[in-house]
Amino acid sequence: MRALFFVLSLLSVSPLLAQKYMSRTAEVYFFSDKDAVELVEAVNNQVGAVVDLENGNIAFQIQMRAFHFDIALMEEHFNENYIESELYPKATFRGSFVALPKDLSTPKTLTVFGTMEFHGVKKEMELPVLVSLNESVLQGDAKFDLLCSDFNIDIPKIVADKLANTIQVTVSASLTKL
Amino acid sequence: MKYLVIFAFLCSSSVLAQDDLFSLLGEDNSNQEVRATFKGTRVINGQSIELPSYGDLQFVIEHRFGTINSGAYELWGIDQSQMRMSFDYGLSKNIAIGIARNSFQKTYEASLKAKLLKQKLENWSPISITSYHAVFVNTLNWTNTNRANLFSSRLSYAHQVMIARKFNQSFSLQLTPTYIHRNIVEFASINNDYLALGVGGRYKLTKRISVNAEYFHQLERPHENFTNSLSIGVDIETGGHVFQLHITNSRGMFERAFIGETTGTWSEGDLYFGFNISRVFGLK
Repeated sequence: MRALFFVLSLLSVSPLLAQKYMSRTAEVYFFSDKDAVELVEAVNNQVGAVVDLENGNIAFQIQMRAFHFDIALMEEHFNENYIESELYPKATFRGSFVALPKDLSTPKTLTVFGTMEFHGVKKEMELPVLVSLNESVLQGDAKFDLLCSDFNIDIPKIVADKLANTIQVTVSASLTKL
Repeated sequence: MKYLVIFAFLCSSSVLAQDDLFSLLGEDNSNQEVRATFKGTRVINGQSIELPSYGDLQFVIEHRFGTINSGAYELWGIDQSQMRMSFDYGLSKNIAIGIARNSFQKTYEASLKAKLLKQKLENWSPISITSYHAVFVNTLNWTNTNRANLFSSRLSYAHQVMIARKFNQSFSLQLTPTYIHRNIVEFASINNDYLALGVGGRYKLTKRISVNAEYFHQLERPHENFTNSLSIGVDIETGGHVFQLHITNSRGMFERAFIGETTGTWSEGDLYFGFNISRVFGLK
């Protein structure tokens, strides 16, 4: 009876999860440098990501406080003055692949369309993602630009000559099969 | 047992059938520390629970001008200024050391500041606690050279425990029990030791500007001429600098002086205008 229970519960789980891939250690890196006056860069490698290859759905969840800067004061200002991480603790991306080919064994650049929610602002975006599937690991890489002004992030005049409006974002995720 | 199996089957499928991929990720709040309870390492005169970050050298210049009620002849106190400058360094995430020089009584300071407890977002640690320990060396020439003057007579000490909570984005409050010891006092009737309780707070008006207030109540007044210290100020942050402007009835800028030896009173208007400017240098 116990064996049957075990087998049944396994059976009930596996077919539904078969096409889902997940990571809790995806990496998001961003930098912004204006005429190389001051490089603002940070990395977060505790990003949550899920992809369902059955329907092409994709979800990312980014805890803003987990961005690490080399300069502690910059990290404090990022959280306190720009991102306001107490009010908006996380950013999310919810979307799907526009067209998902059956064979992903060779790396392909695919288009993802979805909604980025960041600093309390929702914005629809279309992003190119380099995708490859290797046995049970789904690798995704993306590079894109965000504009502070699109997400209501004020850059005060006094630092306007040091901070660029454009943030260059790099995402790298290795998702394992659930 | 059969029902249990069916129940388990139903449960697992219904949970996993949820289309929302976010439910798989869950809430990962990994119990983060609360940041920036105060903008600076000082509320106004007194220490805040904040330390310079690990590997950062913080240089602070402070000025207190003469009394505002001294009139136009003294440009309301601007003509007379006392200053303090200090270097504080973050030895580790939780320990900082500092040295300082005050023009008041030509006093040198050495200090140690340690974070003991940090407020966390999830409530098992609702407060932050930092302790502060300083020794002050008065280096004025001896007034009476006929007696045996010992170096130890120049020394006084302050020990403080800062207990603070950041209630929300804007409002933080701190309690500061303080113990001060002077090796030598002017009259035998004066106690060498005294206790005080400080209260300090800040309210953020905008992302970069806050209003601060601070009060130290002497639990045992060292001398009847001495009053309790009350200060009100504004913090303005611009990148690597924090400017603090304030009005206070204390002219001294180190703990023994402003907690124990304040002479101004707010009701009579003998107040001092002052400012602190702090700049951080990353040395790591």
